[in-house]
Amino acid sequence: MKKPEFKAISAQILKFSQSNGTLCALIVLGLIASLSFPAFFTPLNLSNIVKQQSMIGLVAIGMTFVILSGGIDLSVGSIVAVSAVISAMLSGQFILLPIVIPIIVGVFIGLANGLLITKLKISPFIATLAMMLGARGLAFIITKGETIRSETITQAFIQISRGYVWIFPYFGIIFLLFLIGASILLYSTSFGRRVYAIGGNEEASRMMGLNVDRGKMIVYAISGGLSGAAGVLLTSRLGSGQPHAAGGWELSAIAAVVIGGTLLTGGVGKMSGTLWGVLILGVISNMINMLGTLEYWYANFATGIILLIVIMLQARVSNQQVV
Amino acid sequence: MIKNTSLSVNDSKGEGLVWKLDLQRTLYKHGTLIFFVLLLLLNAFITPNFVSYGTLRNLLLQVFPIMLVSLGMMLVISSEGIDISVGAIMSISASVTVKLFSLEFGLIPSIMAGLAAGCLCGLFNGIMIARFKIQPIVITLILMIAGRGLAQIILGELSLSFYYTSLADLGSFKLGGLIPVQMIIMLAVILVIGFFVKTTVFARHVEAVGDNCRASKLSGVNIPLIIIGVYVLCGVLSGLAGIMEAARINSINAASLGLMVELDVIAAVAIGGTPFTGGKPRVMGTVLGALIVQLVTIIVNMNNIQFHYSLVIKAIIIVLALYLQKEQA
Repeated sequence: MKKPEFKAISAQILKFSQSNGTLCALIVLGLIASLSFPAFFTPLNLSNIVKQQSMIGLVAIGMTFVILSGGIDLSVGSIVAVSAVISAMLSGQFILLPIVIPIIVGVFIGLANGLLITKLKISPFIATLAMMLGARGLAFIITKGETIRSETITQAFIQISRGYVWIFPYFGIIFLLFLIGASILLYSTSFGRRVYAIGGNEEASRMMGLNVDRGKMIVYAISGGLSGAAGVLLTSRLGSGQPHAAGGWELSAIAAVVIGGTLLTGGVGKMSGTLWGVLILGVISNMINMLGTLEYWYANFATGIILLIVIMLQARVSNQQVV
Repeated sequence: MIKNTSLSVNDSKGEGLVWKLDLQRTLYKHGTLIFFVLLLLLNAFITPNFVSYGTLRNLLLQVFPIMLVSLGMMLVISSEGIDISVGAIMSISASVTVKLFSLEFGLIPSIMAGLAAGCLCGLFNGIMIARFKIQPIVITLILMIAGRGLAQIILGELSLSFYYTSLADLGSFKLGGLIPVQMIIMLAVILVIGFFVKTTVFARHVEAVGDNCRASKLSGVNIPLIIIGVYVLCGVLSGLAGIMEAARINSINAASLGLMVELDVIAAVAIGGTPFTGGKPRVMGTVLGALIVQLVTIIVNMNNIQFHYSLVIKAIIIVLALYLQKEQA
């Protein structure tokens, strides 16, 4: 009698860990970190991780939409830089200007990506690669290659990065709000279903009469807008706008989404997975920082290895589905 | 030729059409060459000191890494793949070579080991793609992220210099005191790859896999072998580029060697006209594409325009090249 019951429970655990593998990985990683570093599980350290990761998190939310629709967006890091620079230029103005205008610029760059992909029929990888170069160049051109020091930055704008609600930093709350909004958009609107449909089978969605092109445009606009928002947060945190900021964020964002279990072939994935993926990346780099003796490049190496493991597991799952 | 065989219309309207089609075909076929020549002519007029031996030497020296990696990437793209880990592979290979060289393993064994490291990286990519069915962009992204970390771990420090050693001498070696070794290697690689693409069955199979993977599988092509071979070749060429680049500048910085080279390289292949959906590899197009990409960088430098504009110009050229490719198809 005992044995089957145990089997059932273990099967249930196995099932949970298979469908929520990323969350389990995060919990295990968190446990390891708390046991090995006493300073890990403290409010200060945790809120630091949240602050660091919520900017990449915003980018990763947008990236989730893009990857679910079967595309990819390599231009996000450059968009963050452009909007961060613009935000720094406006930082002395009324608080809404340095927040809203950079986001609008981000949306427009995203729309340009969408146009290249849908109208000129250039593959997303190449189109956004070109935009990655173009937008980075734009950021440098706007600033003439120098860092913009926001000497007249308003207190209210700085407060975005320094403020807390009880022990929760504003950054984390902003990220969470965007995450909830994105989840609602993805799971309970026709647009969300359209994203899954396009990613699942673009040809079939087209034949069913879905407006595939418009769906894609919106997806890239969302990615651009969220990258713009990340740029605003970055400027608030740094107090300056640097044209070479956010280099390599596209890789982190893609890594977070993939670790979160979203298939890069599109059509399969969850928004919650992205949250866990973002946090896993944050915990890894935090652990490596705490070790102190290791140089930062081990973080890249560790990220790569974890990504590899996830991908191998994913490949097994998706191959099984095909068979 | 086409005029004679395809259409024999007598009225003038038809002839006009044929002539137009002919022109269009010529433009498409030699578009890259025409663009290259136009770029040269334009700059002969607007860029000061452009027409000089110095410019030519700079162009041919600096295009070296882009050229080598582009030719490898061309084959990868022709098999409907992509390899964005080339910059990381450059760094890994150069790190292995420089590290072993600094440990007094001798010049030739160090270089061999570096090339072997490039080969292993390519093997890793190829096996993951062919055997485990992982998308090329994903697995090469992983190597791109982890590889640069690996290079720094191998090197044990961020950067290492080796002035006045045999490795540094190799980087500045000139045949007959005139022709840099890089140009010789570059020419040899172009000839070998060109010959390879023209004559070997392997290259045909690469094209077949890129054109229609299922059909080539059904007709008995050993697809895993082809795919692994292509990535290994790309890895070795990237490794060679990395080693020679480190030798030329007499030092290595594992974090920055070959950084962002994948962008230039993909641009070069795109300009060269190899279709990104897989298919015919265009060797001459890729060679010209690499030259154009490097020329843009040089021109921007020579005109004292800020470096950042070259990013924008390259972006526009990539989009334009791919748009024309689409039109052609």
